[in-house]
Amino acid sequence: MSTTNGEHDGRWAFVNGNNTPRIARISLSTFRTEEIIEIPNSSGNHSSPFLTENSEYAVAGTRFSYPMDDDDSNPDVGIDSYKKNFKGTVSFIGIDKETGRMGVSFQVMLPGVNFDLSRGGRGPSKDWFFFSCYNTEQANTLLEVNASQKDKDFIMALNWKKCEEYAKAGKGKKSKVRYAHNVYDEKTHTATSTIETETIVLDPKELKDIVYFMPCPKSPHGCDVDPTGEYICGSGKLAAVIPVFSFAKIQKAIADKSFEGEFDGIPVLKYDAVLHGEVKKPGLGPLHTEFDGKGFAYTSFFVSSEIVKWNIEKLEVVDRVPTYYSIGHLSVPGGPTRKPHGKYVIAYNKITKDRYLPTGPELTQSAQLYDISGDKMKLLLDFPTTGEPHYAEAIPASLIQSKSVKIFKIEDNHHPYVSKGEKEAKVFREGNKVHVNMTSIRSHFMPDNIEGVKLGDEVYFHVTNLEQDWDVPHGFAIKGANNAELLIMPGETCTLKWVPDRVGVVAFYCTDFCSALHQEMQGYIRVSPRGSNNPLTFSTGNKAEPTGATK
Amino acid sequence: MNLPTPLNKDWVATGKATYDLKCLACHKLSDEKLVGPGWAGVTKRREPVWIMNMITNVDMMLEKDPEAQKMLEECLVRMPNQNITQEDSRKLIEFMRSNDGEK
Ligand code: HEC
Ligand SMILES: [Cu+2]
Repeated sequence: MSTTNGEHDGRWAFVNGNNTPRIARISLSTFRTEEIIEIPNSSGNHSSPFLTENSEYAVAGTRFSYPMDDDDSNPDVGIDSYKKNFKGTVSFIGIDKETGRMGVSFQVMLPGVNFDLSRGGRGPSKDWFFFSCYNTEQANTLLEVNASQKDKDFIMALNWKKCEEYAKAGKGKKSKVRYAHNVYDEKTHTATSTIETETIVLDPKELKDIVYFMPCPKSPHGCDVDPTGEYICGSGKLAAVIPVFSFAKIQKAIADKSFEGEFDGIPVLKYDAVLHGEVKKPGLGPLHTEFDGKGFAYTSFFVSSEIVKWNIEKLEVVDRVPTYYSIGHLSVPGGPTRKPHGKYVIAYNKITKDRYLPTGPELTQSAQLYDISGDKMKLLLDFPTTGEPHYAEAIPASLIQSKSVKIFKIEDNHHPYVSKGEKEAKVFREGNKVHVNMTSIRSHFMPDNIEGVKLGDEVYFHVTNLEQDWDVPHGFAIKGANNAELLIMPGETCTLKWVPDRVGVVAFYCTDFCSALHQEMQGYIRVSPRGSNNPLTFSTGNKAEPTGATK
Repeated sequence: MNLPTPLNKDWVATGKATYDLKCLACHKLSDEKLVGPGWAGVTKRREPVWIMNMITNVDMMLEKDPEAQKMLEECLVRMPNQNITQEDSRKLIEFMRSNDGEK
């Protein structure tokens, strides 16, 4: 979620797509996706979309390294040539301060490893970004075993401010790529899609002072920065300790060149030189850490199914509570910011087993809410969730409430096929395309009887919801539209394309319960054979006086 | 509320435009019911303040006002809040008066 000065500002939420590497930006005033940007040079967008302190950038790391398939390289290589040919990238997606518009500002080319999670610095560390890296063994098969060989993998520390400077100074290489950039326009209620063809790639083998590796025990998942920005907590899935790194020590180690060597041309800092300390015997399988702003950290433990509270300065465990079961991520409202609200923590669990009534081989997932305002954590609520609950952030409703859009003003609707009132509803033909500019209101469509469509036509239903009251959507569904129907918000226009495949009269109807007469909210469209002379007509209510209909 | 004559022609026109956009789907100008009652005679049977409340504060009216509730029992569809300002509701009344034959 977007932040200003390291605090949630309630403007946007960002979501990553893993399999089709991309980032979406969602407006928190409409809860609509305003923009989606595909990430080039990426295979599995993980460690994303975490943000810098003032939402200058969202990051996108490739989970899987692979032979980059941009047009300057030849990706047709043996899978066992991982060490030689496979590369990783992390990308910085610039975010416009005012509009939120995104663009791929620069990418950093990295050795082939897996990138898991990341976190932006804050306060003293605000110019830096931290990424957990695993499979530093560079295995290309049976990673379960082969990527669990080394005692330590890495947390990568990256100076994004320097990267930005180098990118602006032309120190990057231009890479030919192809990626889509889709933007939604709230005024026209429509989206545009553009294909972009270039990115700037920085190479840390040449630009020596932008990336450093820090050894971190073992296969780290979380790498979480505390509210002060001084401490970075690694959570090694297979580690018996929680290592806590100190940002001040990292800076000193870099200045002193306290390197234990290089990994693929990138300096590796000495573990002891950057370590604040380790939490000993905290539990089994640490995954993710959140903070309460009072000097305590809360780490989830997958294998031992618990949340462990510990003191960041003293590195001492002070409390633990069980979770039901196998907790993955956890969330303190405002936890990953400078000012956590610090009253609650939510446990998001991966495995349910005996919590609920049986529903076949799969059970719904579970979550728990704990009160963390006192010394001891207290279970408040144990509740089911749908889907596997993953990383989440929570913010106070007051940050969103006052900006929440309740309706789209019909006066401001500039959709090219809007009907501003029933008088503007009409049906017209352009070759084999039939446009239906239709309105809906509790509880009828205008028009609701349409004739003169022929087999071979493509019909475009442009439905305008004339309601101007909060929470009164109308729906639109028609048989033969096999993978979509519409849900139209008050004052909005949406389009559904329908290509009839047979002759006959087909019903359409409202799919969102809108009034006592919702079940009556329906209409018919007649499809005649190819070459039929049935004229295009439309109406609602044969006695209706102000229709402008032909009958 | 005082309703002077002659009618304000501009207000009648603006009221008509609002009617076309936001009311016509449910109200006819005759006495025939569509989703809601036809508007013929509405300025004779209702006080202007009552009409303005119905337009700008309909949820309160349907909760408290016996006349509004009686209509809801017949129509069974709640008259929607169409996001109309005080000013625009006054212009709608001018249009309703003109529909009722005032000059
Ligand atoms: C979705 C249909 C619908 C729309 C749109 C609608 N109304 Fe209504 N209206 C009703 C219904 C139904 C009633 C009767 C009360 C009820 O059932 O809630 C009503 C009642 C009224 C009354 C009282 C009529 C009388 O005879 O006493 C007035 C005045 C009125 N509406 C004005 C408006 C205005 C002005 C607009 C446009 C800004 C409008 N309505 C839009 C459905 C609608
Ligand atoms: Cu409906």
